[in-house]
Amino acid sequence: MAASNEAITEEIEALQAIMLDEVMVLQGDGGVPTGVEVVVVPATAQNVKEQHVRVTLVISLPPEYPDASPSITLRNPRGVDDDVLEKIHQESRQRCEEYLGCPVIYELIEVVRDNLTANNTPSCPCAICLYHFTDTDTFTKTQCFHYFHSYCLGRYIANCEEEAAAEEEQPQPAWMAREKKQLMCPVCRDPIQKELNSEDLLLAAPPEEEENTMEFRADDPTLVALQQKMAQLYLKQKEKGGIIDLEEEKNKFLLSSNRVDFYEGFGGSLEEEASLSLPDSPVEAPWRTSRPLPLPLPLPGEAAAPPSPDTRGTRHREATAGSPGGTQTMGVMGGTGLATEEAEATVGAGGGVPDGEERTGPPGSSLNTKSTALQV
Amino acid sequence: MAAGLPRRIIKETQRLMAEPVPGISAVPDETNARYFHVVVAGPEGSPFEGGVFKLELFLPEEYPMSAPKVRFMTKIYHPNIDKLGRICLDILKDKWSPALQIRTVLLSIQALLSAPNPDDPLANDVAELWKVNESEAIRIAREWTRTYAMGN
Ligand SMILES: [Zn+2]
Ligand SMILES: [Zn+2]
Repeated sequence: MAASNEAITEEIEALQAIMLDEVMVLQGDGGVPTGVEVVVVPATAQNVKEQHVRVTLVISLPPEYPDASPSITLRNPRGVDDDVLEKIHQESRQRCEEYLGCPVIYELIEVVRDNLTANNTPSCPCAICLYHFTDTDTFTKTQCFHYFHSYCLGRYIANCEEEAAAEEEQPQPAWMAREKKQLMCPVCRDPIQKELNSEDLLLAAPPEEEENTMEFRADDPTLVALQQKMAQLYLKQKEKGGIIDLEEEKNKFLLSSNRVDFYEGFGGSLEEEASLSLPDSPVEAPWRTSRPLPLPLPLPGEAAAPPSPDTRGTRHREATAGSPGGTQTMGVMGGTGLATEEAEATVGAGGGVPDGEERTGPPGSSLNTKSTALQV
Repeated sequence: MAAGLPRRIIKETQRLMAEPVPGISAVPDETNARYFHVVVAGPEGSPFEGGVFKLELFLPEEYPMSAPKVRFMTKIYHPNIDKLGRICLDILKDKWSPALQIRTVLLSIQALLSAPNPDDPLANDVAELWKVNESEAIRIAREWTRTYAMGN
């Protein structure tokens, strides 16, 4: 045991000599080294700017080390894809086996570094557009080591700036005054470097993959079946009075203008449907007949739901496993119906401009103002 | 209408279909790919257990720079959801980040059902009862779930 401790100390000292202060030694009771922690970056001849990925390698040494293999944890990976992490894990385990009984810490660091050097482009997708970085894409690294297409980050920063500007123009009571917003990383909310500005970033070309937009398959059978299933649920709940009746609530309560703000989104983009809708009834739309598929979520009938006195359970099973084409699908078009009503309300009032009656709240009050919640 | 739909939305939709979140189902409308029909199952152990809640979700033009707009359509007795089904959730407002997704939003809503927060209310009367008489509030929430949110 004592001999083993000495060997470990020696190995770690050698390591520190090579890697200087990059190695952090983890110590247990009485100063016994129990492991090391190293932030590993790709080998780029000390050119920090060209290090696009990194990971923290934690090597825990069991008391029996080196006769027992250390365990390895990879923490805070930045720009490293899961596949690469898995590869590092595999190679590390292999290396540990080969070096059983011998010092292996430096070897492990090399495994990680080699993999990072071989994959020194951020291989995780851009969190803003969800697409990977191609060789020709321009990307930007934040100081927290998160990557974005420069164009995507530019759009984000421009949007933040616009919002901040809009907020400043709004008269707000003193108690609502906010401190000036620091730009935050979209992923980890760490502050991002002030040098980054939207004008420069937006000079970059949009991400390549995103450019060629493909057709959206709205008639996918699985999708249609799900839509149909949801429409059925909506109808059933509506029959039982379980669906919020916006019109009724609107008449019952005094609403602040934020309701209109809120539904502008629904309404504005549903203009086309609004023109198709009937004036004062929910949109009746024949649902496409297709084979019903079970919802991917456990419906109460399947789960441990309280059994009802009638044959609900049975009906449910029929609904999910029903005979192909056996469902008469004439129903209210779930959400779109209501949303369309809203669309009419807003569009009808002149392109989304709320009418006087509804504008009871302060102008520009929005959803994020909790105090404008519904007055009862 | 499909033309010009950002790939991000397509990608999110594909993933929602291929790897649905347990207890959550989100499907785009057949005529508007930015409008989603959503069903969230009441989380186990919550007063909403056994219920299936219909929501509508809309991705505004600026998405993902702006948050999706989400609303409960099924009636629900919850201190952070008002009578119109509007949800009080920071990530839908000032804590929105384009790194969040439809998936994360719906997960957060599911979490909100598990952990109602009467100290940050949207539905004031509900929150009030939740604070002064929690067991009664939970009883009502259960009753509403049974009355309005059954899936069969
Ligand atoms: Zn991007
Ligand atoms: Zn970050």
